[in-house]
Amino acid sequence: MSNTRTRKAIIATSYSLVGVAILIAAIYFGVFPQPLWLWALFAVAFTVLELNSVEVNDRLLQSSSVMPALTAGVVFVLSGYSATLGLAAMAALGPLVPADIRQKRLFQPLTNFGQLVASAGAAGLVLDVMLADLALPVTGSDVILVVAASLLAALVYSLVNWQLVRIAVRTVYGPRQLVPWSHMTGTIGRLLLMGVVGGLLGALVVQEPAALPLIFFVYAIGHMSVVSYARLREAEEATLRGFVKALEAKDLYTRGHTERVAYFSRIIGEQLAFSGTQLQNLRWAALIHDVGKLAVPGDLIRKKGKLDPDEYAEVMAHAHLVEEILAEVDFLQRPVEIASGHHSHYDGNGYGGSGHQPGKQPSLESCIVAVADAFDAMTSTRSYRMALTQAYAIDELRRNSGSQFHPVVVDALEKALVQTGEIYGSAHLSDEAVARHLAEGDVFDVTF
Amino acid sequence: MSRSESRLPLLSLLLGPGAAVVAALTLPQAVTPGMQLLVAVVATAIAGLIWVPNSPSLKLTAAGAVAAAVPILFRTGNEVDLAGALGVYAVGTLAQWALLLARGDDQYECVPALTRHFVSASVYAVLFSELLEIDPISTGNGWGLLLPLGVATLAWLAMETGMYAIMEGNRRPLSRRFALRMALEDLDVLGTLIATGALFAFAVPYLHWWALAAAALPYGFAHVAFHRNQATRRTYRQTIRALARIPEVAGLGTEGHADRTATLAFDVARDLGLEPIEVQELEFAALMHDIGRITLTDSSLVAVGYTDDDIARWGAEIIGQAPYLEQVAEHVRRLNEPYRHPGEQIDPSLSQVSKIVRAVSAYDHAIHDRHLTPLEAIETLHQGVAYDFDPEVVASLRRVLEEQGAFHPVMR
Repeated sequence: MSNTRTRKAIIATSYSLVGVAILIAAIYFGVFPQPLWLWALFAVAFTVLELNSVEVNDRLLQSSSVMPALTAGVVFVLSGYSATLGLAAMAALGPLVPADIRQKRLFQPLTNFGQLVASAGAAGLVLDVMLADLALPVTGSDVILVVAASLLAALVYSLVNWQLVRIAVRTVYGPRQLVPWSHMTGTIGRLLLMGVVGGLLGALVVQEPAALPLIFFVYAIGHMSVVSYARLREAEEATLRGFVKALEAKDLYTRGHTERVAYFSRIIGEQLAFSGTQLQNLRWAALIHDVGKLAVPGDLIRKKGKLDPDEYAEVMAHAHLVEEILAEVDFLQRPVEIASGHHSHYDGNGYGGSGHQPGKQPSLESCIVAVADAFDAMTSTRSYRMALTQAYAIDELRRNSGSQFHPVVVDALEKALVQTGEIYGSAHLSDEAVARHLAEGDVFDVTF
Repeated sequence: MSRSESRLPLLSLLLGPGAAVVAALTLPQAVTPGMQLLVAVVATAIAGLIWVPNSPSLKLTAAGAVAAAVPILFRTGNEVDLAGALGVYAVGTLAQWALLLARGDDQYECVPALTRHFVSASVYAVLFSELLEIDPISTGNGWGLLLPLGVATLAWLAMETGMYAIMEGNRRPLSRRFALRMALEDLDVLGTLIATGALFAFAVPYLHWWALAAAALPYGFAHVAFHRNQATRRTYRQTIRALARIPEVAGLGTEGHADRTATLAFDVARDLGLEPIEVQELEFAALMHDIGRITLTDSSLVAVGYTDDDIARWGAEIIGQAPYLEQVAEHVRRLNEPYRHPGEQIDPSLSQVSKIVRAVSAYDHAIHDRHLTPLEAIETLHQGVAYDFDPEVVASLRRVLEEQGAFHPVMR
């Protein structure tokens, strides 16, 4: 833990030093924007939006603060002051989060201070350089220049911001902790367009100050846009959590199973260079792959010993029941298709719902969930068998690769496990028969 | 669609002739150049084809933004060309109607909506114009526009919601209070439309064509955000329906029981005038009230035996896992509690939601499991009003069923 603390200290110190350096340089070279009340008004808007940032991706916060930042920047430059200084000073206030101050936390505010000052200062510099020769009134082709400068400034702002977040998270928590981001085109596109709007509003308000109240309304719209994205994402996550919880409530042995299958699927997907959005679908598919079991008698799922053909058919049904249950949930359609093929074999055997077509190779995603599922089944203790070693599980996957499992996926899992250095399963138990025998001697019975 | 829903409000029958008369009276007196009038009408008609998501009650279109901009643009100093603005609204409304008709939109939905928008926007324009001419307010620059604009906007919002409550209260089985609350939920959309329209009007003199981008982009953000809010609600609803399906897919519940209970409970809630948030909880609670049955796939449990209370408790445990459903879980947990115990007063802590779901669910079981007629089924509820079923709820259920014609001999 002390290691994490050292790394936190390094990041916090270096980021805040960079921030201070930028502020000093900006003060030395620039003139602070006047009138002060206008600067303060934008600074308040910026800070309020920044404080209300929401998580739009794993550990990636977004807010619409780029709008007031660029409005202010354009106003400052067109009135003959330094946008770099004005924006860097605004951003310096952003990290003053009441909760952090109350709890005397230092890492978060210091890091955010450096990262915000750097990104806002860089955006201000772009405006200072590109709009230096512009004079009032701003008309016709001048507006095009304002739009171009705002677009570039917004791009610089977000790129600097995200790179610094990435570096901080990677350094402090390690690369594994950062789930690859999905739907980034939308997130970046939204920021760039917000930048353009911010810049245009700057060109307006510098000539017609009475538009200020309307402009603040636009900032509220921007905020609503970001929040609505986060809410939708939260609704989707809550849905998945709901089903995972329902599964856990029903069957003690699946506890943690879905989460682990999701994790193994993710590291396999990363090995195979999946995009953030593909990884998201894969994760969702892994989380719901056993939802069909909710409709299968619990005794069968936990039964020790062999199932008779009727019972086996009933258990097999869970692979397509997931479709019947989740048919109406729009955002899960692709994941459901993947999940319904998780008992489909690479060579076209096996069983499943729409994700399984007899004789055909299932989708790569289905194959990944299948391997992750089988790997976790072997390396965790079940009602009918104790956990086996990782080496045994990998050997077993390898032996069936080309028939039941996708060879590329099995290779990817092995490589990913070597890379992470993680070991799963029992330390010594590598005989299937012994593992089953041990489990049968196990007398305790698990009921709900 | 039931009979009562297909009735058009009287006022909207006047929409066509009314708009034509307004156009004939105002347009000859308009001082704004004909080209500008034409552009405004065309913009209104095209924007009228864009339904803004998440305004299920007010049924707003992007034409609201154009209407908000028109009086600000048709202005020289403090003098608004009111005749021009009203003329554009009238012709614009007729043009929108024609386009919506051509596209095949539901006339019962869009005619009342167009009527409301036309009247409310006209009030906005008149008020804006009149206030701008009062001397102390009009300072001659942009700041002088803000107060009249603000007041006129409030008047528009009030007109729109008030008219909705009255018109819908008359033609649907809705209480006016409920209709008003529903309309108020859509005001963020209307406010956004007016603000972006006003922003456009403010920006035109300075940014020219770029004003379109400065206003259309924020509108776009809002449009997408409203769409996402709608998707969020839909996702929750779909999730809940999916969870509710599990007992039926597993063969542990009567087919369609959850859906039917939810639909009928919704009607009872509207009859009793519940708050919209309660109606939402009621719908979710009704859909999921049997979710506890998924634990019945355990034969050990079935062997031990269980009661309806156990089902409710297990269900509440599962539902309670989702943070946004804690209240719903509470309703389900207390589902089988009597509304009063012998010798006691009515239990005030038991929610209307629990009472409604209990009664409606019992009614549905009586119809589909015990194969009783609706009259016999409601009679069994009447017999249980001492402790099990709240007489108020049973009376309301009876009213709703009567209105739907369930007791009519032809129905069975």
